[in-house]
Amino acid sequence: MSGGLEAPGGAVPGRDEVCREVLQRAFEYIDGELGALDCDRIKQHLVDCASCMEEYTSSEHLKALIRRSCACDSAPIELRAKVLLRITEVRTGFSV
Amino acid sequence: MTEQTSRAPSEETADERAARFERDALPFLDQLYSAALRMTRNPADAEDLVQDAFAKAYAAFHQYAPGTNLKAWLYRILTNTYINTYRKKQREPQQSHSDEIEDWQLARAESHTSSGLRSAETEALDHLPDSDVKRALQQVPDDFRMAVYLADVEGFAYKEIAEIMGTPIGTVMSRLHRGRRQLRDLLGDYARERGMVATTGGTGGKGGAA
Repeated sequence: MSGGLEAPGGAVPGRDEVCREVLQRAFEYIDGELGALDCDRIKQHLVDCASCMEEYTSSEHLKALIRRSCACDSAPIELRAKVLLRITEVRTGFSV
Repeated sequence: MTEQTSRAPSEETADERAARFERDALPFLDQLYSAALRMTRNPADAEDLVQDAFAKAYAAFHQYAPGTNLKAWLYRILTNTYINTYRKKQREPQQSHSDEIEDWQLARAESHTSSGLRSAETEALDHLPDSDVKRALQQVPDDFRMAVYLADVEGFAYKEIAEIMGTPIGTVMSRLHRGRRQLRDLLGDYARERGMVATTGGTGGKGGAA
């Protein structure tokens, strides 16, 4: 771990405060919405804090579960034909 | 008329446009149907919604800029169509409280004492049938449900979801938080009903707030 973010010397925020921030941002982290710097900070905290790690893991777990359970249902076969028909209707409506 | 993109849509013939639409947009049929199913919560409405959305998309296809995100563009049309027509028709009591409710849930997300379901127990949820997860999702208010679906199932970025739903990113994030929190609670209930998780006998949470 070279470079990266140094723990802010002196005024180290209370652990609870850090936990709160980490948990607040855990979703952004899981959703891949955080910048590299924030990711490093959160990763580091998760390594150190078992309860945040547990919470984080379960959020990640939930996301995966939703994705898996709601994965693509295939449309009824006749829907494609119905859609094409609608498009033709729109087309003929336009081309007069 | 300075620059010519790959194929200026305005210059294409109706046949060409139809062919391009069929080639590029129609492959999203299954995905849009799945999303429509999660939105409307029933197959008949989902089919109608998908047809309406595709008809609208086709009619507006000349406005779509080739090379930009077609999937997000189609989802925006689907979502708008749903909100403007189907939601009005379906109106259900649970939709009314969307954004105002449950700030306490957000607060809970930020503390270790959090949900009825202990973190370690979320693994038990893996054994729930898919139908339970879908059922839980159906119980989550509309706007939350869509945000969760777009993020978790479709993998859209917050910015894209904001565009699709026509809301600021902050709203997307709060809908996601709330939706996921509710889902987690609901799924915890289902797991408990199925005896997959011990019924909580006052687990000694950290904070101990009664």
